[in-house]
Amino acid sequence: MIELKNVSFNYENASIFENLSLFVAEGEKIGIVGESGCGKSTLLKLMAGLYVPSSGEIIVDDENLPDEIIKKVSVVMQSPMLLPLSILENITMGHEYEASKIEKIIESANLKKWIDSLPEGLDTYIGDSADELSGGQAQRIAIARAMFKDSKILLLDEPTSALDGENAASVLEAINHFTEGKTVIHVTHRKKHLVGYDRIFLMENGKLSEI
Amino acid sequence: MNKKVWKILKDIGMLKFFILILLLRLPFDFLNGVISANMLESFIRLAEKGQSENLLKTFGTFLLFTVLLFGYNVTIWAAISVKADMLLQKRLRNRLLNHILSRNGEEMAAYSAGDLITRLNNDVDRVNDYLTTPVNLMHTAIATFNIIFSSVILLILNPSLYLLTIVVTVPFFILSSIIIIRKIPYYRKKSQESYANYTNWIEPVINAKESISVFDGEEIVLKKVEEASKEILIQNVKAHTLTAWSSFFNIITGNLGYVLLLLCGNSMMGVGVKDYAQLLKITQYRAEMMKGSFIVNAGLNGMKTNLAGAARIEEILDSEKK
Repeated sequence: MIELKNVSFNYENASIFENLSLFVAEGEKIGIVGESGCGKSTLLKLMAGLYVPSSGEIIVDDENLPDEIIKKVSVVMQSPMLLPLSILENITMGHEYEASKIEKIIESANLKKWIDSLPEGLDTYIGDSADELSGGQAQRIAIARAMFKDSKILLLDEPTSALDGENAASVLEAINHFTEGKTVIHVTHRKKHLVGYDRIFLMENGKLSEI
Repeated sequence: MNKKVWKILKDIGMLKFFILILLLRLPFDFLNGVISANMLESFIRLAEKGQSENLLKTFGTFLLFTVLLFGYNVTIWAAISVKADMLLQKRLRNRLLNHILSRNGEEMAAYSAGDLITRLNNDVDRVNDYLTTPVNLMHTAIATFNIIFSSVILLILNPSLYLLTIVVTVPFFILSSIIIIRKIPYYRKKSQESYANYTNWIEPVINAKESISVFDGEEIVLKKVEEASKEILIQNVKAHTLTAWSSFFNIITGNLGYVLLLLCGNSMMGVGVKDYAQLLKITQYRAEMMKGSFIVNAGLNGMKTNLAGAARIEEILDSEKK
């Protein structure tokens, strides 16, 4: 469950939005569309506990402190934000894991065929800025990382915006594999990616309106 | 001068400038030694003859020479040297950056961003240190000049003491420079690679800070950063250990000279010194030789240390020619 109560957010003295309220029930899938720069990514980061609202309250599964909220959510950003570690370390971020869980995740994230073709498999080192990878591969690793955390709430910030049609389809397929039963907030400027979502909102001039 | 550094200087059009500032500074230590040796001898001779009235005049003359020498060093030569420092760093960084930007992605893909950043910053600093920092190329050349000319004078004044100095200095110099110092660049190069690896981490960590927070990755990131910085430390400690060994041999070299002197007749007269005035003059030249050899040793040490940077810069510039 996510609840925004009269949330306002200012950045460098400019108001991004004021008195925003929204309730997302458990298991609900919400899409937010809007032009670039309208504040939808900022809203997502507030919901993730990465930003602190200037006023108002954000409650995520009974928690209202950003440090606690951050533990409850998984986020897939526009940029995959990978680290110069192995594929496996990027997925687990150094946490303990079971091999069977990793197997399942890389299959769901459409990574298995590619990883199996690598001489060092999951232990393949990803260079700085993930230069060696295609955008689709990097983004699917980011999705696998979100799958590994397995939070009940998934926040998606235009995860396919930098990808071509084929890669975008593969990434969306990977996302669909694990959003079942989860609360999803998907921010995008392509409404067509939100087929099957429970509600879709338009963000404009700092306001949210259901469409 | 090492051929890598020679090539780099030639590449950036600063070879003649550096030879010029080196020549302008070369006789400094030797001239300083000559002034000191002759001043000491003159003072004692005046004292022996009871000519105390000339003492002040003599002192004034040597003081004038010393002031002129140091004045030249801290004004004219220092200004030229600072200009050389600035030009070298500017031209080297520009050249490297232009080169990196003009290469195609495939060629530059062999280097990580951290490695290129390290080459642009630390390695350029190292080449600059090699050429201009005291106790590197500049002082090594000055000290070598001093050793050669002080040796000639010492040989003329007292061949026995000259031989005694050579017998002590040369074996330790060889031991220190060939066996110990030779290995330093290897560890310094490793240290620079570790530094590049560490730098490699900084940008992605900053870019991915939100992912690190969301996925609770602080621990693994800190662990990896710690490993990278530990590796820099390990390689630096190895290089420092060798430097310390080299300093140890320098001290032994200095002390052993006096032991040998005692064995040669228990006094300076035993090695053919005529009087006290000459003794002071001779020991001043001996001191210049010893001091010179220590500086050359330390200079070679510093140059070897900084050579790792030159090798890494040359590697980038060389890829253009290939």
